[in-house]
Amino acid sequence: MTYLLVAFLVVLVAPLLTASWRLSLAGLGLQGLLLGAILARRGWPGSWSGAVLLADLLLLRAWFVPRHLAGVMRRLGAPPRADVIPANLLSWTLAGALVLVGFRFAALVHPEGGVVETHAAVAASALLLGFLILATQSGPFAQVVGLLRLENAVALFELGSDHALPLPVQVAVTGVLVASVLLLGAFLGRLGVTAPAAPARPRRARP
Amino acid sequence: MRRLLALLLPADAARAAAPAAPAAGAVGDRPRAVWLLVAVAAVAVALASFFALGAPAEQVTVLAGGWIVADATSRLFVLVVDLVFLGVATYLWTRVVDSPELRQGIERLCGFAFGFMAAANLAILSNHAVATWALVEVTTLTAVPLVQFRGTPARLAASWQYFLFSTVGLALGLLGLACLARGVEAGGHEPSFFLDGLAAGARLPVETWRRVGLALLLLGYGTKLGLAPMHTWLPETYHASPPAVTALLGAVQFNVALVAVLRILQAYGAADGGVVAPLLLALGLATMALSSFGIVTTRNYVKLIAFAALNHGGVIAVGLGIGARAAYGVVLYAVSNAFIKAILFLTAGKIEAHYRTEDVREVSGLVKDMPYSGLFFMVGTFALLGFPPFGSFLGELIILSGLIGAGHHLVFAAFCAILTATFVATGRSVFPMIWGAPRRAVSWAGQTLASVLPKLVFLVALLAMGLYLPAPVNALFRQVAATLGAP
Repeated sequence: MTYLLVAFLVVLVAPLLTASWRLSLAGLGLQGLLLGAILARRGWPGSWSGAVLLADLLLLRAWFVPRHLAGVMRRLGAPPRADVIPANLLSWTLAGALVLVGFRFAALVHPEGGVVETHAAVAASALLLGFLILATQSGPFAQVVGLLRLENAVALFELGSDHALPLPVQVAVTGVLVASVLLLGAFLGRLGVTAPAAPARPRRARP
Repeated sequence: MRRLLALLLPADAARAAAPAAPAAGAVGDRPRAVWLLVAVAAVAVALASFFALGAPAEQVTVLAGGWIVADATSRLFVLVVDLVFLGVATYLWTRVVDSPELRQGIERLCGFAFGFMAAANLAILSNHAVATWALVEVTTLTAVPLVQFRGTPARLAASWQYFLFSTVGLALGLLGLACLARGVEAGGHEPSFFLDGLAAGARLPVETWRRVGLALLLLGYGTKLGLAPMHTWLPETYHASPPAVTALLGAVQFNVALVAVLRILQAYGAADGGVVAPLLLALGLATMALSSFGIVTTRNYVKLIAFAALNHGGVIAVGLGIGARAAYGVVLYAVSNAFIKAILFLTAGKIEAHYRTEDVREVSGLVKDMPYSGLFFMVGTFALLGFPPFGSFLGELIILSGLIGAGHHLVFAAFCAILTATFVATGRSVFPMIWGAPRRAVSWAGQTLASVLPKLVFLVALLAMGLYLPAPVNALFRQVAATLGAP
């Protein structure tokens, strides 16, 4: 279990140090794959709800999300370089500090240590790094990546519990994610990779 | 249905009865989708009225295999959001005739409005916290195309900001629910997100995950309520959206998110007051202060109302932070807030269509130029500012007395100071709009009864909440307050 969490942490941090949209999307896909592996390590799902969750992680997060967004980026003719955090030493130090904060928080809530603590630490680090991206970038691509990293952080945290949602609720949660990803792709296609997100003042009367 | 509406709405009767060559998918001079919207909204209000008042207020019934709960909270708020829906549908019905912009794409707008309202109703009725979360998210997903209506760049950017903030907020909310579940597991119990399961979880000893979960839930749903620090999407989105959509966001989606917060407070408010009260008081005061600053600086009347809506969210958060002492006031204020927003945003749409500007300095003499809209704007502003005899006045008074009663004297002082600043800044901008001398020749075109009726109903409701509420309705208000701890 711990090696999967360590791998997840590597997949969280590594794409931040590169400035490639392909690597950022590959990182998201790998996060989904590792989430699926963490779930599968508990044993194959014995319920329909568990099967939907596994499909959510492996089909949606690991396969569909990077593939769909990569298709949008290719259609936009995006250049290979696309930073998700500013490419400077300060940002990288801040990212490292946030990972440490995540581990410190986990040590506080799980003083007994062990896998539970590592799990909480990696989930907290994923959440904080997602917020770092959202806070430092205004380009739609980086914000989409930040948002999906947040979603993966929440999914990782949820995997720390054995509790399964009822089937209709799990289907609804997965359906909402599918719709959100499609909408994110549509926004990315219309706003472009780095278009400013600040709204301008409308000039026409509103119907 | 059309004949019935034509009889009820005399100013449009002649037009509806006149021979015309209707376009494909149109009935008379209105698209079929708008007729359907009004009809569905009217049926929804009829059903919601029966649902709200057809059983004793204290009765709690679980339906549909445990997925739907019919209690005072769901009954009251389903009625409120469906009344607003009917008002918005009627607004679209009247505006579609003289607005070619609105006519193009009205089917799409109505379709997403149906989806939005279905999700909103189900979210209020839901008996499962994660299902409620998913349905709130569905209201966001269906609201994005509504905000983008006819896709101007400003609306596209505003809808992106709205979607981004909403999704981040709701992700925090989901994380909060997961933290609550972790807390229950830490106590050696099986977590459940059904409302009775949440209440059972609240009886366990308080521990760290639970505190973290409650904070994340309040921050997450607080984003949908426009509470600081995740409030920046609200003024821009309300400003850029079509008025009907702004009314739906401000008066419907706000109350859906509020019900989600009420469900959490009903379960955890009493046991975890030490966590939720300071957080709500801080978020509420910060929001009020920021909104007051926004009201002072803006010269745009739609944005001004949006900032005032932020202010109301802050007042409600402060009221919820006080707890039992202010619970009845919070319920009164929340319901009043829905009707005030509906009146003001729909009227602002009329004013903007007439003057072709949103600048407060360009609009003057509303009561002479547009008597009905001027009157509604005036009364809506009075209600917004908490004047008697409206429900918002009574609600604010109870919240203020709750602050004193609970010993929050510093919060009381800050609350009063911010309200005073808000009052002065709003009056400085809005009162000249209403009573100033008209700057151009008055050219008021008569308004139909249909365009006035929904706002009139909201106005009567606001007055009733301040003066006299019929016993069955008051029982609902009292019962919702009782679930928040009110005696």
